[in-house]
Amino acid sequence: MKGIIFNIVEEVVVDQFGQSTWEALLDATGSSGAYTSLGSYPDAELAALVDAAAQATGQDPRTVLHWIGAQALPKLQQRFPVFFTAADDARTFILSVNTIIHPEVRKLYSGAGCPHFHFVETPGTLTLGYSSPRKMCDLAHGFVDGVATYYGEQVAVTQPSCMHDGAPSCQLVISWS
Amino acid sequence: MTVHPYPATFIVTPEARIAQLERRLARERQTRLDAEAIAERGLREAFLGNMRMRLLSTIADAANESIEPLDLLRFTIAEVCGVTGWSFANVLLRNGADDDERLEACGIWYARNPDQLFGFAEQSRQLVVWPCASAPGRLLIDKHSVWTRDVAGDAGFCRSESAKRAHLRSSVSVPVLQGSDVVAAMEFFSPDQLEPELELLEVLTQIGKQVGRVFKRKANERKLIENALHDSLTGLPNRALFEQEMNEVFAANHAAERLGLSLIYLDLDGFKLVNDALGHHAGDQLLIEMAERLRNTLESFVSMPYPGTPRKLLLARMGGDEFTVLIDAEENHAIALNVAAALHQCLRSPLRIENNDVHSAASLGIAHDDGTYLSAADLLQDADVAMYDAKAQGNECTVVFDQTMRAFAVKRLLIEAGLRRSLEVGGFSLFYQPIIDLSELRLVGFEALLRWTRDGEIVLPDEFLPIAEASGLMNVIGTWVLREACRTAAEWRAIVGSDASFYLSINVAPSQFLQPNFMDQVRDIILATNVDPYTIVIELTESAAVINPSRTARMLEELRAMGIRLSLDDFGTGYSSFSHLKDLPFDTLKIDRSFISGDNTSNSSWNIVDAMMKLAQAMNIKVVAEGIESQFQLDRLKEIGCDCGQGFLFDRAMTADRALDLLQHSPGDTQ
Repeated sequence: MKGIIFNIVEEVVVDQFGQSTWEALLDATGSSGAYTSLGSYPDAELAALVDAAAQATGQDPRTVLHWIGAQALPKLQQRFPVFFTAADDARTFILSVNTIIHPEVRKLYSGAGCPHFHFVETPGTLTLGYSSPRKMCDLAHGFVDGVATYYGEQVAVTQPSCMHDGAPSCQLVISWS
Repeated sequence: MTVHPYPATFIVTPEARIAQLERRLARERQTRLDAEAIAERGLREAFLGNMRMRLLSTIADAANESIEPLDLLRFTIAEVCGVTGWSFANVLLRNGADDDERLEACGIWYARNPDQLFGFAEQSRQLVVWPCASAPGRLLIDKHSVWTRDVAGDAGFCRSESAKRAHLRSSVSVPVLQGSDVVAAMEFFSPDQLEPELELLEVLTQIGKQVGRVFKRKANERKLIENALHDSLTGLPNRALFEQEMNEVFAANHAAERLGLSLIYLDLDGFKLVNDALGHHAGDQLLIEMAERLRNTLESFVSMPYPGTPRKLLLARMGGDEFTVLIDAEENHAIALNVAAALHQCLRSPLRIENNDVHSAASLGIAHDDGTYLSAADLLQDADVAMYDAKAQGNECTVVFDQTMRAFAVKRLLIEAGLRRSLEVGGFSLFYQPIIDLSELRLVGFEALLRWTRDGEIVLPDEFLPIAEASGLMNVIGTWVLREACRTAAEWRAIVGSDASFYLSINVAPSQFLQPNFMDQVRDIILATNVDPYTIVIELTESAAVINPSRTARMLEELRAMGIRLSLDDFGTGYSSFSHLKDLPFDTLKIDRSFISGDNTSNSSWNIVDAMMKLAQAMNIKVVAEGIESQFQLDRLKEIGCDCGQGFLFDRAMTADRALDLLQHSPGDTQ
């Protein structure tokens, strides 16, 4: 997992719960906390942080991951505004993930293992197919909610199939009301 | 100068000290962020610069080694799309005379998902453009690359409707320049609205220049060849010399009122596969070696004079992998057949190229002068038609031309046109033949089989697959088959639930497997259809698997890592090299139907089946027998421990609905 993700997680935790909470999470997981956006760190370290946050808040780790995704979006917008100005609405932004955003991520962080989303479009919906051994569909779900908030759009997201339930891939159906 | 601060300033309270430390932390943090941002900008520049340099040097290397501009263009568009992620590319050529400024499409195109972009590809394949304000015609005026952010906003773009259907938005058109002349153009398309990148445009322009060098070299070479009369690669007489000799013999024979002229047209069957799998250098080596064998073989027919020795025997290379033989003799019919048999024989032993054993075989067409021909060129054309007939019949065939073949040649063209139409509007379907566990007589899966319906009639695969292969459509059809079969498997899985175990076996054509982006296609289709890869078995023929065993092994491992199982199809009909079987990670092998024929144990093919079974058991590979038609065959296969089978004894291939019905009601559908 790329350091930038740890940085963003730190920022949202510190923003919402203060520096001490982040320090407590680091203590609980035994992580060094020395993350630079340019480095790579074990996936397990992020999972441990999420689990620790879940324990501390009494929530499901998947809920925490979804929360992180939604909260992270404004942070990502601050760091990478160009992707947001290039897209006029949430749909266009989401559709640019494979072809514009992730290729750019790979340019910045060599060896980044970005997931490939498969899109199926209909006029009122966008289905997002996701398959990754990391099984972070909740993070994607949170990102989608964050994107909708950023563009001021109302969306409902359902997940008819999920890798957590043994499906070969996750399907996120985004509907615009 | 020494500064002595007033000590009282530095006496701080703990609170103030904490505030100080926090400010310092924030400062350090900002410093880190700034440093990261600077490093990221540098990394991005370095990455892009690197990527562009690598792309340019890959193309420059290929241009240095390339003698055929069209092959280089095919390679280049695939490389550029691979690096940039663009989804479609097309090549246009200046075919006419110097004052003819038109650019015409030439059938060279690339698509990451060819079945889904086929409509746009078809229109692009037939494109003709004149100098105009819109790309690609603008290249003829400006002569530098043109970036169009959104083709929908370009009124002069004539393919906008089909581009919209194919979801293509941006285009980049790149001229191929020979000096200041545009000799060809490459156009690339992306589904995204991409802002122009000047550095990338510059690299593409450079690539156009590199390709242009090869056009220039080829033009120079053509001039030399026109002066000389021999093929530079093999040293054999070239087309010009062959036609000159052929015309002379034809005229002399007709003047003397005798019929002694036969022409043989020879095409190497495995050549394209070798080129695709091992590269052009290997392809050239294959041609040189094969030309040498053909030359030695023909020499044996004239080196020892005997009664009826041909008056003339001439071997030539017409271009690509096509060779011709001229025979002028008293007994030309018999000699032509002997020569044909000898030519097949001499190609049979494998050839070692870049540490690979390459097998090659030829298809031969013969035409005899029967006195009705008005020119030798017509005779040559008929030999070519007969060669196509031989190719359609399979490996190592010789066919002598007869008049009915003209009708066949027309039919072939109609079939090709029909295939193209069906790829655009539909006409293909899949049928599913049950695969049965022989010991429990339980349904375990299906093999997906392609059906093509043309004007309401089913056309047999044997009839259209060779034509699809020869016309370059096999990859598109194969991608369609893979997508449709995966879609069906995903649908079945959703209906029968995840407890039911079944698999769907899908045939992958050699040319499809050898596409550089085959793995990308498989990944895309798995994601698009949401199929469980564990329900998929990919069937690959031996000929495709063994052509570059190390690449095959790598790809099979990758497929396997995705959960896909692998089956070696038509085992026993090809090279059946056990060493390959040992090194390639197949899960099952399929014994070809031709071995399962006959209701008699004394039939020699049963001995072969026994041997194959023992081999498979020793290697712990499952065996599926094809073409089981009788109880005797079933009993015999069970007796020797064959795991699974398919054939009319159980069921014929059926529609997806019937297959699903069978799956739902089969006692064996749950584990």
